[in-house]
Amino acid sequence: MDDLRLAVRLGRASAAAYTARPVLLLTGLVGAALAVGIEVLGVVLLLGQFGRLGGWDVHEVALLLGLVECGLSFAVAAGYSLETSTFAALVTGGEFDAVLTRPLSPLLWVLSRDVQPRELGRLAVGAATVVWGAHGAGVRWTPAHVGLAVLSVGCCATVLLAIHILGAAVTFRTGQGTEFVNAFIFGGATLASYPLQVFDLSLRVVFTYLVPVALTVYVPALVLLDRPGAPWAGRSLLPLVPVAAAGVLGAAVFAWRGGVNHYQRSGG
Amino acid sequence: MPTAYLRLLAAGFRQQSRSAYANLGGLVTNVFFGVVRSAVFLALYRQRRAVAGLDVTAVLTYVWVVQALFSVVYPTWQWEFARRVRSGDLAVDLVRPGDLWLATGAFDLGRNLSQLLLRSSLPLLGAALLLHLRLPTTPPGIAALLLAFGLAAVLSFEFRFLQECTAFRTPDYRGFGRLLLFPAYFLAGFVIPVDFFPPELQAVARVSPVYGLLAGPVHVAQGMHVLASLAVQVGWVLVGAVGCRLVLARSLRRVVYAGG
Repeated sequence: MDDLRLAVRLGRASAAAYTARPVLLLTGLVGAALAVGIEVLGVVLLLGQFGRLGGWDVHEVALLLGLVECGLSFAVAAGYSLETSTFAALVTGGEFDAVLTRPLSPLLWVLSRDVQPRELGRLAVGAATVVWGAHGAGVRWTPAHVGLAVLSVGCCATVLLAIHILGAAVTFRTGQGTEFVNAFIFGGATLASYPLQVFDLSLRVVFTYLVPVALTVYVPALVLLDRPGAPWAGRSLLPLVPVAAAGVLGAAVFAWRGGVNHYQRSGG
Repeated sequence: MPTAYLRLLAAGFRQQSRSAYANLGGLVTNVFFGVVRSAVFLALYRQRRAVAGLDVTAVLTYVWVVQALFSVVYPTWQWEFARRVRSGDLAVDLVRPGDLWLATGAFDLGRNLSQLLLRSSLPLLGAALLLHLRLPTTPPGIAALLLAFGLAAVLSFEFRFLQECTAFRTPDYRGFGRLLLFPAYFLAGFVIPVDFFPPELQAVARVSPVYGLLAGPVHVAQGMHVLASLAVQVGWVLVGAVGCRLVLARSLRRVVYAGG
């Protein structure tokens, strides 16, 4: 628990350091907001032309997109140091030696050493999109529904961060950044921002059961929107959402520990 | 003298070719995005024939041309020039004979031509074999498409060069870059085809400087507005060249590197 408290303090300090560069922080915040803004605009214009996607209207699709972007904002903010090239440099440069001597778990140190406050821009627009989409789709914000949205964002962020950690665990062994990670993080996030029924069964199963990004967003959204969902990914899977997120995170941490044990001092 | 720049172009081509498949993960990411976006458009077109002048074949062509061009528009070496500006390594480039902008551009174009030939073409060709795409089959059509891709590579260099010149003025150049990037990508047709824009926005998009990065080559591939697209690309390549030279000349007048 002490480790966690230390990590939170370190994360806060690293984020606060960006206030020393107000121009970079402000342009970053607006940039991150715009990144979500163009996706929302895309969905609005697209469904303005087509009306519905897999039977869902623009508000329902926007709800999915908003939830995904909120989850992504946390995963990117904390996972910044795990980014493929940054992390490969940390490992191959031998700097990781020093990490092992710190009085904090190496994983928590890596996650908290460079927290990106600009991701608040993504979170803000993502949350606004959730509110707008839910309003248009007639979602009633009961306490249970608010809790469900929070659960969805938390679990989505957990799964995306776990993929990042898994990629880093591989980097310990290969010494190289694993670009495949981005296919799963950003590709998975993109897939999860569309109604799952538009995809093939194989994609649906992979992103529901194996890399459960879509599970953490689509299934809670089904309950919020009171829709039945696609075969193999119905609302009955709701209890699985936190279990799957915790499971994937556990597997990632296990792989990370194996990676750290495999790490060898590179000299100096 | 022009042979020197051609050699730089060839050197850029060779350097990038050596690492063409080092970034296999990037290629897989491209393909994955293409698959997801194809599935979305196939679902959208399930009950429709043509929307805003595009049928499902034209839209799938859009999806895969955009994926093919993305690594050219946003290459892995983005910000290399800006980093040289900030670190002072640019001083070395400045004492080299020849023209800094032409040399940088020739090397960059060489790298991007390698990307186009060895990397970007793969997902596009694969998609063309597996899906029903609308790509040109006549010699003039193929020539127009290759020209459009080449012009996109040149425009990509000019667009990035202008962005990276902000590094002469501020250490926060990445922040300003991000600010510009997303609206520019949207206008270029990265998120949805420009044909789905409202009429006013579409009129702006079709003559904008970023049209030639993605939407222009997409139109050429689809066989729509071919000559107009190429004309817009050529026009902005020329304007971009003048703009780059003016900005670089002004920036170099104020830059000071201490050396030893």
